[in-house]
Amino acid sequence: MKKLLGLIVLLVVLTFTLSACGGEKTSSNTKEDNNGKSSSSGGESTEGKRVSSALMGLGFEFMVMLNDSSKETAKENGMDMQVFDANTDADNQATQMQNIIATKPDTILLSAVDAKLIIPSAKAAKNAGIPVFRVESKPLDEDYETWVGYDNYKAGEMAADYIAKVVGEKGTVLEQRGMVGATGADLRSEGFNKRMKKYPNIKVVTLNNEWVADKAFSNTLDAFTAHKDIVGTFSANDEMLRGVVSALKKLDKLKKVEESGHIVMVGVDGTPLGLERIRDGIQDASLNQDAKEMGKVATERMAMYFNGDTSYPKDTMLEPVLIDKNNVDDPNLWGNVMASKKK
Amino acid sequence: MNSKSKTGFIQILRSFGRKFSDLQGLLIAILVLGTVLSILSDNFLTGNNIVNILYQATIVAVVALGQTFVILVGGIDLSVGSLIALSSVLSVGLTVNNGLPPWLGITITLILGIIFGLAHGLAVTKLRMPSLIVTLASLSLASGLAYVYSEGQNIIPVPEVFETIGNAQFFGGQIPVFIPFALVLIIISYITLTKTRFGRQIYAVGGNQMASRLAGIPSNRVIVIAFVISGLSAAVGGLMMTARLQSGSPIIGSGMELTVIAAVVIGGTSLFGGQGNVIGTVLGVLLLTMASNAIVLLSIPPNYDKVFTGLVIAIAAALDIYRQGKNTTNMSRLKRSSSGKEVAKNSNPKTEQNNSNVS
Repeated sequence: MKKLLGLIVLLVVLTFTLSACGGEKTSSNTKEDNNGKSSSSGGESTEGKRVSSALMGLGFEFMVMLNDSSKETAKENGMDMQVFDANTDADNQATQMQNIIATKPDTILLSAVDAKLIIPSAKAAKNAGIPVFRVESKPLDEDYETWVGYDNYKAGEMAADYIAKVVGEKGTVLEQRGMVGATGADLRSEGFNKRMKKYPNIKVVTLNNEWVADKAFSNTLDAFTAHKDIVGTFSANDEMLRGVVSALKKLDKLKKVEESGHIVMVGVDGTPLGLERIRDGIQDASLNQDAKEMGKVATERMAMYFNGDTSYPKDTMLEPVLIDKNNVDDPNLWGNVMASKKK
Repeated sequence: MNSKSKTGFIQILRSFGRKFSDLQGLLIAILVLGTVLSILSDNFLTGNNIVNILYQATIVAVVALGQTFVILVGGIDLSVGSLIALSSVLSVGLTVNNGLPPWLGITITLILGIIFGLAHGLAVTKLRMPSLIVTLASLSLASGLAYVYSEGQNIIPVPEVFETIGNAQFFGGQIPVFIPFALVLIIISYITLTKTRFGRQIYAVGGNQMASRLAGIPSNRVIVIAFVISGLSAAVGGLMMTARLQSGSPIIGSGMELTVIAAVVIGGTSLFGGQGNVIGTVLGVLLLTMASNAIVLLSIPPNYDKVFTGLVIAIAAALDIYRQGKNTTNMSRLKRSSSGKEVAKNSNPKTEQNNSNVS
C-alpha cells in the first residue's frame, strides 16, 4: 500500500509538471478577462463596451483564428470581450446564450452551432434589447443586426470546376462530406454535387465523415476497394484531408501533384496544415475561408454600431478564394498568419 | 490451488470452446453480414479489403480491450475518447513544443493514461463514486486539457518515430504493423482473463463485489487495476491514432467511447459486470467495422448510414437474445460463463446464491 501511495505521489507531481508545460502556452488564447466595468450608457464611444462572444467550437483552427482576430479588433477599440465556447453542442450554446443575456452585455457576437436551434436564443437576445452580430453560419431568423459569413455553396462549386478541369472531366471523384445537417457542410455538398452534374463523365461518391479525419481515413480506404478509377477528392474541410492522406499512404497511392497517378485533392478553409500540404505538393488547392477577416469585419461593425453608424449591409458573404501553389506563401492568408503566430 | 494448475490447460481449452458457443449470436450476425456483403459487392471478400477492415478495427479493438476489463468489474469508462485526444496532442506536443525526446514524450503520455486510470479507480473504490460520474468528469477534463495544451490546433510535425510506426508493414508490405500489435494485446488480455488469478478475481469482483471481498479477494485493488488498464489502453489508442493520422490533434477520438462501449456490450459483456470475455469484444469491434466498411462498399447514402449501423447493432443483439432464449435461460448463462464462480465457490457457499441475485 505504501508503495502504491508513493507511486501516486510521483504521478501526481508528474501531472502538475505536465499541466505547467501546457499552462504557459495558453495565455494568448483563453478568455479575455472581463474587468467588470459597467457599460457607459449612451455616449457614442466603443470604450469600455461589454461584448460577449458565443462561438460554436474552439476545437477548430478556423474558429480559433476567428476568435483571435475578433478579440484583437475588440481590444483596439477598447471593448471588453468575453468568450464562450459551445464545443459544437447546440444545447450547450442555448444555455450559454441564456447566461450571456442575463449578464446584459452591450452586444453579442454569435457563431451558431445550429442555425435553427439558436432561433429562440436569438429572439431572447432581441427581446432583451441586445443586438446580435452573427458570424459564420447563416442565420435563419431575422433577429440579428448583421451577418458576416462565407459563400459555402460557391466554395463547393469552385471545387467541382477545379477538380473537373484538372482530371480531364472523367473518372470517380470522392466527396469527403462534413456533418449532415450542419449548414456549412450541406451547402458545400450541394454546391459541389449540383455543379458536378455539368460533367456527365464524372461520378461522385460521397463519404459521410462528419468532419472527422479518422472517418475520412477509414472511408477512403474502403472507397478505393469499391471503386477502381478514383482520380480526385473534394473535402468539405482541410482537416479531413489528413485522413485521406494517411489512407493514400497506406495504399501506396500518395503521389505529388506533378507525378502520374496523383489523386487531385481540394479542401476548404485554408488551415495551416492545408497550406503546408499545398506547399509540399500533396494537396492541389484549398478554398480559403478567411477566418481572420470574418472576425475582424464583424467586430468592426460592432464598433461602428457603438459609434452610431449602422450603414453596414445586413448580410455579407466573404468570397472563397482559391489557394494553390502560386499564392500559398501569401503572408496574409489566415493559415499563414496562424502558423507564424505559433512560431 | 496446486491441483487446479494441472487441469488448467484443459480448462482453458474448454472455456475457449464455451466462450465461442456463448457468442453464436454475434458470430451469426458477422457471417450474415459478411455473406450479404460478398454477394452485393465483388470487393468485400478480397485480401485487401479484409486487411483494411482489420487495420481499421485495430485502434477501437485496443481501447475496447481495456474497456472490457472495466465493464467486467461492473464499471464503465467514458473518458477513453478524450484520453485519446489528450495523448495525441501530448505525445507530439511534448516533443514539438517542449523539446523532449520522442521516447520521453511517449512515456509521459502512457504514464498520464495510467494516472487517469488510477484516479478513476481510486475515486470509485475509496470515495465510492459511481464510475459513470467519475469518468464523465474525466471525459470533459481530458478533452479540455487537450484543447488548452494544443490551443485548439493540430500539432505538427509528428516526430519521425510516429511516421515509421504508422507506415511500418509486415509480410512484404501487406500487413500494417498495427494488426499483429493488436493481436498480441488481444492474446495477452485473453490469457490474463482466463488463465491468471487476477483474471478470476476480475470475474469474481464483477459477479458480486461483497461476496468476493468476504472471500478474501482484494476487490478494491482489482477494480483500480482494471481502470488503469483502460486508461493505459486509451493512451495507447491515442498514440496509434496519432501515428495513423500523422498529427497531434485535440479533436480525434471524440465520441469514440460510445463505439468502444457498444463493441464491448455487443460482444456479450454484461454492463452489470462479471460476465463476458475478450473474444466477444473483438467480434463486436469487427462487426461494427464491417458495418462501416459496408456503408462505403454498398454506397449507402449519408442520410442512411446511421440507420444502417443501428440496424446491424439491433439485429446482432436480437440474434443473441433469441439464441439465449432457445438454448439456456439467462440465469444459467450467467452462472456458467464466468470462471469467477469457481473462486467464489471454493471459499463461500453462499456466493452462488448472491451471484444469481445480481442478474
